[in-house]
Amino acid sequence: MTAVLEQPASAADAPARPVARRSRAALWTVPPLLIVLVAAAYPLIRVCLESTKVGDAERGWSTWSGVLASQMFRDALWRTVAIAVTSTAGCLLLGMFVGIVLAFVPFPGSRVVGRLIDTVLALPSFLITLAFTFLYGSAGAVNAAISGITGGTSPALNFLYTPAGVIAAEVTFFTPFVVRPLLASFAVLPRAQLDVAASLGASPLRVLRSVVMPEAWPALMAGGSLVLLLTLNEFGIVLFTGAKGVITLPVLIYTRGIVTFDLPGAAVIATVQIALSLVLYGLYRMVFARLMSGRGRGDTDVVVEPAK
Amino acid sequence: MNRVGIGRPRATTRHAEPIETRTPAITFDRVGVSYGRGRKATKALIDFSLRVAAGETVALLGPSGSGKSTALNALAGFVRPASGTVRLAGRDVTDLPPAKRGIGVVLQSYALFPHMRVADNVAFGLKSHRVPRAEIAPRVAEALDMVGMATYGKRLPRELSGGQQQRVAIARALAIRPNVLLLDEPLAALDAQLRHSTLAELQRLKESLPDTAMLYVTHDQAEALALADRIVVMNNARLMDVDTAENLWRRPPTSFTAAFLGGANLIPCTVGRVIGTSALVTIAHNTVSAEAPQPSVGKIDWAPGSKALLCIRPHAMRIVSLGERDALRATVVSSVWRGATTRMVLSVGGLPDQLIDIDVPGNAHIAIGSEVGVRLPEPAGVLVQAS
Repeated sequence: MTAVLEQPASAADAPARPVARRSRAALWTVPPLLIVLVAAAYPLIRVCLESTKVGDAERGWSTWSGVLASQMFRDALWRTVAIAVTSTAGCLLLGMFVGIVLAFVPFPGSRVVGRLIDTVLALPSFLITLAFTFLYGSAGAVNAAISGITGGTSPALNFLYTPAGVIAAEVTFFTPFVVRPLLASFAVLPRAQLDVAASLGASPLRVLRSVVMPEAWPALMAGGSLVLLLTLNEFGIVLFTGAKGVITLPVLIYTRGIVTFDLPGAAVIATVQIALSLVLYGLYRMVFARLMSGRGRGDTDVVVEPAK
Repeated sequence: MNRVGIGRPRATTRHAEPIETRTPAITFDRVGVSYGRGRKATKALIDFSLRVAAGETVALLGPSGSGKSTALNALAGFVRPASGTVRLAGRDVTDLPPAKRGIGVVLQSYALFPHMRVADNVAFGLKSHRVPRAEIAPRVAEALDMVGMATYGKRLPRELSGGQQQRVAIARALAIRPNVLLLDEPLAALDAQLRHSTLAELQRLKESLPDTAMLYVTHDQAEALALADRIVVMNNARLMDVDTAENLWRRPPTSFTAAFLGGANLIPCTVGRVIGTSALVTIAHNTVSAEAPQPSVGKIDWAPGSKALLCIRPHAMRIVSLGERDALRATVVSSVWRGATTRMVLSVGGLPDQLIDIDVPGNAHIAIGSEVGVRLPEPAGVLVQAS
């Protein structure tokens, strides 16, 4: 049987995709774009513009120079970064430990602990601080118990209203943000790799260091970066501890904007806060991208000459 | 080579228990493994006993879920036996962690460390064993050279093909110079062509490691026949039979082994006169001769008039013209061309509910439904006890 095939149309004859259909498709991007502009971009731009306001109608940089030169702002900036970095480091250490125990050390109730971690993610941050107040506050359960034993009248534990108290609360609240992605990355690690590593004579610590952690780095980085951003902007925990000596940028914005009604001054600090967040986010993306693309790119530890 | 050690044979296995001259490299002594607890516990390995000599390659062959990988995992230390003992060169390692056993393991999934280069993967075991730094590079080179991957040291696992990755996995296991090498379906993830070439390399590798005991888990009988000095046939978490590949092929002790190892027609027959290890049996109103083997331990009573199964391999029978003398009358039920042979399924007159498989060389053009003659070999086959 002979089949007669139709001549294929040449590329030039091929019907072009209608322009009208393409522009109609582009229209679908307008609503989300508008929402982003109205809900996110515009308020931020407005805050930046507000920071340049001097008096009722004039604009200038005097508010900026005034705020940036103030000791209170510099202290708050330093304290914010210090608390955020320390809390993040604490979350990474504790999160790594909890993640490894939950994933690799089977114990009764590990599932319940895993679910509790999920629950903490759903709670507001100030609840943790409230719980801390009941536990470690001046009249909290722990101090009452210590007083009962020692007979002392002044509280033995008095850290809650200091930066250490804020860091402790932040570490408690934000650690699950590290644990969750870490557990997800451990879950996809092939069991066979761990078995083979062990059969090759590696101790559990070496398996963890050389096989497990290199695979978990991206998850750890993602969790850590998220925690850094969240702790940098944390307001509830700092405010709820009522720590007078702990003034961070978000608390300073609140004080200037709401308490003393210095809106331009608050806007300056808010703009700094936005810039800080964006820079940190950009830094995270850069480090993450470099880490991902560079995985395994390093030279080998072993220089191999073909065997004779 | 002086082979020592053999699996604890069933009462009916037909091979001689060899004289033990030295300690086996691997010993399973009534090992049982269960997964889960209480009523939900699943027995993955039951009363498993086997001895493997240094330099010997034993294949664990069986269908999925037969317990062959569990046996390997128990030996490697990946699962803890619920009962029995595991010994390596006579040393009880039942409760020893995998890191302390010094066994090389190669798995189906390769399990290469993706973030390490090939050379670092191979060096991993050496570093874990704290081999002096100066020795590591030459030993990595030697291991890679052994599997033909000497020039791939700087590659990442993802830059290699499946076959190359498997070869690196083998090199990694060999680098620590283990006395025991475990291979769990190492060719299962490879395509047919690559499987063939890697199998040839494994054969070559086996020859170059005369003192290494190998335990090779597979469900592919061709791999087991090609590589193993002995084959352990497993089913339902138990050891069914163990013997040399040739013995199991020629004189399968059980109907399961006969069917699983190479495929066999198991035709019900009635035993007639028996002289030594030869017998006359009746199938489909025809009397034919058959082997009536006896095990080395115990005795099978092939009593005249008793029922048995006649094991005939598909390639051993021939299709002849109808009416030829001593030929069985049969009808073609189906015919599938397989390249080198054509697998024909026939229904034989006088054998109701019994279809037999015959492999005919080349592409046989015989119409389905046509009547043909089937000539049995002389002797027709081997008797297997009806279970």
